[in-house]
Amino acid sequence: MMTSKNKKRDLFMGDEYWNESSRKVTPFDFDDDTDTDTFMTMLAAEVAFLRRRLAEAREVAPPPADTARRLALGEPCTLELYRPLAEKRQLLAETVALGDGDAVLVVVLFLKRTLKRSLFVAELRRQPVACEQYLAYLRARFSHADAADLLAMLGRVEEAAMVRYESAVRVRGGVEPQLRGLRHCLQAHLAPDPELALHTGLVRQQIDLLERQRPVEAADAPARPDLQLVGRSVLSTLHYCCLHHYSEPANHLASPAALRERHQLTERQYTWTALRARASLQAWADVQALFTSKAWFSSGKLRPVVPFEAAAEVLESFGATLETLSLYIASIDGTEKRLEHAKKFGCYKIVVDGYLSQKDRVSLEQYRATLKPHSEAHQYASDALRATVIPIC
Amino acid sequence: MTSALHLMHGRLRTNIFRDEARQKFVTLLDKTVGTKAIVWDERLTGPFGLVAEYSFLREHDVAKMFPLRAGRLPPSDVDTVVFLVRPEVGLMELVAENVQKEEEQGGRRKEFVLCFMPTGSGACERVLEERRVRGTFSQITCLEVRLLPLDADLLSMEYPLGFKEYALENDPSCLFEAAQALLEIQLKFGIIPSICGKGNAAKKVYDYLLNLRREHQDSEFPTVCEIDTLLLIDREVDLITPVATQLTYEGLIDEVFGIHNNTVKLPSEKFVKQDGGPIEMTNDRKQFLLSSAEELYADIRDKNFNAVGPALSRKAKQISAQYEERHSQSVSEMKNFVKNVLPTIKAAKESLGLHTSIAELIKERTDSESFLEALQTEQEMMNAIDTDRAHPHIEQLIAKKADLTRVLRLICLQSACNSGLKPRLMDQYRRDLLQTYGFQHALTLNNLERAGLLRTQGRTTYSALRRQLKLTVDDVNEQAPTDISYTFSGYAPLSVRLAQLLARPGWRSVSEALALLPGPTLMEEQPAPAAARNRRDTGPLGLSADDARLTLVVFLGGATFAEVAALRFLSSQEDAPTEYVIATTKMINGNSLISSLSEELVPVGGA
Repeated sequence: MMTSKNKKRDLFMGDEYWNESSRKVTPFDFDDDTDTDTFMTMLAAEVAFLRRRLAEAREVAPPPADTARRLALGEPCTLELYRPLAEKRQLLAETVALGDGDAVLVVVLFLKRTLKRSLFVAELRRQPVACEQYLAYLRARFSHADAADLLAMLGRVEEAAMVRYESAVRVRGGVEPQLRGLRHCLQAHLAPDPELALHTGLVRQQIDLLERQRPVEAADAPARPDLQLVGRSVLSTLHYCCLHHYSEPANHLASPAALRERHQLTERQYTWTALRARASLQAWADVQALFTSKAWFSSGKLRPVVPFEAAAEVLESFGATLETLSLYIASIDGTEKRLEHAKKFGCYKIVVDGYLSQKDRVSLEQYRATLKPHSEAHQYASDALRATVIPIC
Repeated sequence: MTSALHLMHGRLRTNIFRDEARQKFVTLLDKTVGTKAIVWDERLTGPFGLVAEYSFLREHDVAKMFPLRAGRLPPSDVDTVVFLVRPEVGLMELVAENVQKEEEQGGRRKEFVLCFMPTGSGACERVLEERRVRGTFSQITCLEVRLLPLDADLLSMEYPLGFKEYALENDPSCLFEAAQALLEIQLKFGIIPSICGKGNAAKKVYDYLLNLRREHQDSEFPTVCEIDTLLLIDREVDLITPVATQLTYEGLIDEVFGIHNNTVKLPSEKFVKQDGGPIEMTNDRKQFLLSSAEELYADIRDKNFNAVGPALSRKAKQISAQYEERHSQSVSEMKNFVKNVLPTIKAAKESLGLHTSIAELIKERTDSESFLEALQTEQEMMNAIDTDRAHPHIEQLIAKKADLTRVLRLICLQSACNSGLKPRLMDQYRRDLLQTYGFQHALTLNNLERAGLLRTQGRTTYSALRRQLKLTVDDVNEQAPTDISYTFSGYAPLSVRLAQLLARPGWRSVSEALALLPGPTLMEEQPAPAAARNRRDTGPLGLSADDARLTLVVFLGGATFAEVAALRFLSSQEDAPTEYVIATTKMINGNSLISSLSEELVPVGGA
């Protein structure tokens, strides 16, 4: 019953429409408002027609370059039409070439859905940009396990280990899950690979540290309820142990010596931390011991494990007496430097004695001028000045 | 809040970007009915402050504004909730949560609109689908605003984490956006005939630009091109400048207090109201706008900090002198004085007061021992002194457990100035850092390595670069500078040196140095549309051929204020071969750069 009244309409309407006998087909006039109903009917018909067309179109895939562009521009398109692997590969290549990261991701997710895992990974290998995009996506969604697996499959073992590590340290819910994650990272990714020995060593240290912190925190909790030891750094933990467990034997978990041994801390690291901890308790003798050689026949002279002036600064901040400070300042090598720091810390005896030994009256007088009149220091300097007057025979 | 007048005085009318952004925003808002609440991606509120003040938004029925957070939205009685976010997958979880909780709440039925800036993302929509909220949105649209004018000669995309994305995650989205922004620029100001660049990101942006140009073949490009040269610089080419401490006034304000979209927050107690009125002591920080609309600021912002003091005293004298004029005036002149001159004097005085206070705050920092020690360390490193062993100052900082970002900046500087660190030294630093600050920082170190800021010793390039590009300069005049090295009191920003040499004598003369820098070198010509002509062609309506050339320098991955100052310095030189306009993906400094690559991890605690 096709009427040829309106050639244009013929192009749009399909058989379905014409088989509906209830339809009234009249030309309509856009200027006439009462034709709205007719217009709506025509629209409905057109929709039905287009649906059929679409169903037909579904079977043929447009060129991948077109789809890639549509994706980049945010226009609707369907990816399901690309079935053979070669077409999918081309689609991905085209999308990568255009540069829109988001479009690339959409295609990658499509490939993941529609390809066998090994094929999917192979395609990612061919398109590094797409691969990175996907990895970043996985990490943004916190799918660390998937990201790590993919990286491992791609042979990027160090990165796989890092991702696993990241997921381990980001885990919430306390120490136990984190330890589990770290151990898994160690066993699955790090230990097997000798190239990653550095990271392996560090993760082992981290695990050991957590396993040490836990029981110590638990044991000390009654005495110190606010204690937060778990999760602190090595040196921070050492500081705590130097404060509260300084004299524990080396087999005790909280013994500073044990910590030093296990984490192979340098003398400087250990001394600096212990110094700060013991100084805060004003345990000056302990501090001195740190700088004294343990050897049997040592002279008892202090060794600058940490520069003496730095040590003095710390001691001063915790209220050490001038006498204590002088012990360290006096040990500074090099007269110039020693005098400079002695002045800075107000160790007047050292300054005066120093100028005295150099027979430098001028500097001594200058120094005395900086001292408070009638103070002990001033007196000491004056006495020294008097002593340098050479009696004329 | 923001007057845009000063944007119109540059070589490029950057106010166009502001007006367009405003217009697009209004269009978006007017597409939704009734009263609105906007839920902001927090990183967008700053940039939008440059474009639309709150009063402007209120005129368009914006009743409430909330930052995007997890959980439930604060209660509001509006018709529509508009989410304005960057297209990031991570944010979608928050959006979904907000929407779900709002729906659960019942009560008034609200409409939800989702707006991405600048473009949408299929991946994001997928996440929303998974969370079953995609259908809840009545509109999913985008606000195509890519460039915001920070000043008449400075445009920024305010794209967060751009460098991290492309250097670390190999995600070219930032570069793609940059290319689109450049297309927008060309659609407004004409096809740029000459494109130069250095670095992998520069090449990528160039390729995208070519593609985009092909797509837009029918578009109408202006016939007159106002920009002569486009210079694309990948941040990876110069990783020294961002980690060194900037010494210009604006640079220091950014380093010490942080400038975000032309605003800075300063400790309130320094800025007590002069008239003794009640002080708004709600926060301990007061916010100030810094822009070249303020004459004094425009004058001192790019000076070396040591030249700011004298400049402020000069200004004080000038104001005094102006004020004294009132004594020698007739009655009619007096009337004019009170009406016209006095207000400007008052404004100038306020401005002087503000900057004197800011300068004092900065000086507290720059006079400190720690600052001076760090500066000396930096200068030693830039002069390649003793850079292949553990630096005592760095070791001291670690021993004192100083701020980690500060320490990392110095180590990265050492790495750059030593052309990479010896593996043993790298390991030593690594152990020291992890044992002092915690093992979890291994992630940050890993990131810095992958991004190229920390590297193991490769080709020794720094010494040659330093020599060939004159990166370190001995006699620097901070008061009356003769060279861009004044910005760091002795170090010329590598990136700006490249720009300088491009203009004169040209990159062919420094091809050896360029070869030492990472990534490809670009020197291309773009064919202009047939009808186009360069605005400096002779012709009765054309500008005279004497007009200086204009170069658009684009920093991909971030630019520092010191680099901006250096380029402005070059523009202001008497015999400048070209003037500069600057665009960047984001304004950065050493702290923000390192932070962007750091993994923020809360150490685990509790049982």
